[in-house]
Amino acid sequence: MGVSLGKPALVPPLSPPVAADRGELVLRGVAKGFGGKPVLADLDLQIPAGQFVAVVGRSGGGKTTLLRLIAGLETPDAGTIALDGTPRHGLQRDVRLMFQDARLLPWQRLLGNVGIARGPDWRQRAENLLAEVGLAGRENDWPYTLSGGQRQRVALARALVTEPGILLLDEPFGALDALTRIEMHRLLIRVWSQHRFTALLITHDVAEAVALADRVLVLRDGAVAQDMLIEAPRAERSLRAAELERRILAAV
Amino acid sequence: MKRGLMSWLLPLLLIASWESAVRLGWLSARILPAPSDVAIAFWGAVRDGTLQHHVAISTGRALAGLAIGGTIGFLLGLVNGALPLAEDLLDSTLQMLRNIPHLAIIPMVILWFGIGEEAKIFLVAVGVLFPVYLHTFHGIRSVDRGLVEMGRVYGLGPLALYGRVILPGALPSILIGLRYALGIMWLTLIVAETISASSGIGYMTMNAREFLQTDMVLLGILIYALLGKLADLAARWLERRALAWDPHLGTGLEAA
Repeated sequence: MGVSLGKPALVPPLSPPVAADRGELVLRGVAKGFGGKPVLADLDLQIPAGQFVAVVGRSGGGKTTLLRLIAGLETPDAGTIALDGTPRHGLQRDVRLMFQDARLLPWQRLLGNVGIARGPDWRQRAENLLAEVGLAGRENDWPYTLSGGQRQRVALARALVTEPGILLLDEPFGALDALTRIEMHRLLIRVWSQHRFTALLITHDVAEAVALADRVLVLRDGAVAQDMLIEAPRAERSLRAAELERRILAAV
Repeated sequence: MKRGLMSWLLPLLLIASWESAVRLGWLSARILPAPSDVAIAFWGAVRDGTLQHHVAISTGRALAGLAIGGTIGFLLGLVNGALPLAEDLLDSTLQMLRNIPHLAIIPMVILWFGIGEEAKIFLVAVGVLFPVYLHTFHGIRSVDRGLVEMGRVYGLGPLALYGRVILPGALPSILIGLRYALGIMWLTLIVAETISASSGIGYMTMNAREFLQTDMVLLGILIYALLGKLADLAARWLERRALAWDPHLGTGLEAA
């Protein structure tokens, strides 16, 4: 475990200005099957607070099931999922999920979509988050006026408006064009370094995993086949990306 | 502008030739009164207030029936859409009842209620209940599951989920149901008022028939057409306002 690829960093890595104090995730012996067919078997996983983890693997390797278990949309057949030291069941306020499609409510303006959970001074918080994802002044627009990338920006703002400890991302950039995807990567890293949540990103795109994550997990046949730390600062990764990608692809 | 004028050409021509056919004696006023006679009848009925009186009564009946039947249909659709148990219990029965043409129960209705107001309101209520029920039920069932899942992940309780996700998602279908209901509402009322009434447009029309006042009969028919058109316009207006988020409706493009 933990193959270190970092050379001595001259530029300090884009790492916590403040250490994340919540969002630690511990899975112990988690198993889940559908119709008698096991999808995840006896999975142990420990993710420290504030880490950015990418999960790669083939379709059917259990990536989405893992995400839905952590989100509380599925119940494990065995094992426990603990969040900040407390075992938990069902949906949690502290965990938010970004879907492949943005899933905005077409009948709510952007402000209402971001502030969907309402709560005290939700308007102000939603407005701040919209500004943070680069959509200031669009509060009263309808979702149908947005491009695909803008829709995912709104979805990101909606996920962060309640300051979750954990953000789960289910291939949210898969349907975007290459340039928009790079913009979204920058945005995601920026908000991650500011809000200090734990990020768990599912992706088919190994290059995306290498560009964004502190740690890449390869999931194969319901088990972790490779667990790799990437310590190189994000700005320097393009130089080493080919080597990293080769090693990850070998494990997929 | 020019094309707008063109579309009026044929109706105007028809009215003009109809008017002259009656004036020249080719068409008996007993069969079809001249448009000018209908206009005069209209003016007379407005001046002595009979028209307003009957229209108000008919509209009151129509709206009362719509409110009762629509509410029941909406609540049934809501309950059956939300609770599988209620669907198992009620839906097949409602589907069976739906197949009875509601006008076929007029003899029973007269036996139950006589020929009073209740009979007409009851008939309208029964008529509008089913389209509202079916479209509410169908609308709730066809709300995007992904949006409902999103709502749950983002912490919406059952009430908020209904208020912010499920009902708005079902609204386009519910409004279509309402438009069908409005059509059925006037149709039912015409039949009910024609069979038995002592007031309302149907009564006014049937009464005029007994005195061979064909201009008043024709006026009654035109008033029904006008009220139907107004109800449809109101429904479309409501649709455009309530569905402003839908690019196909909200921008003012007419839906088919």
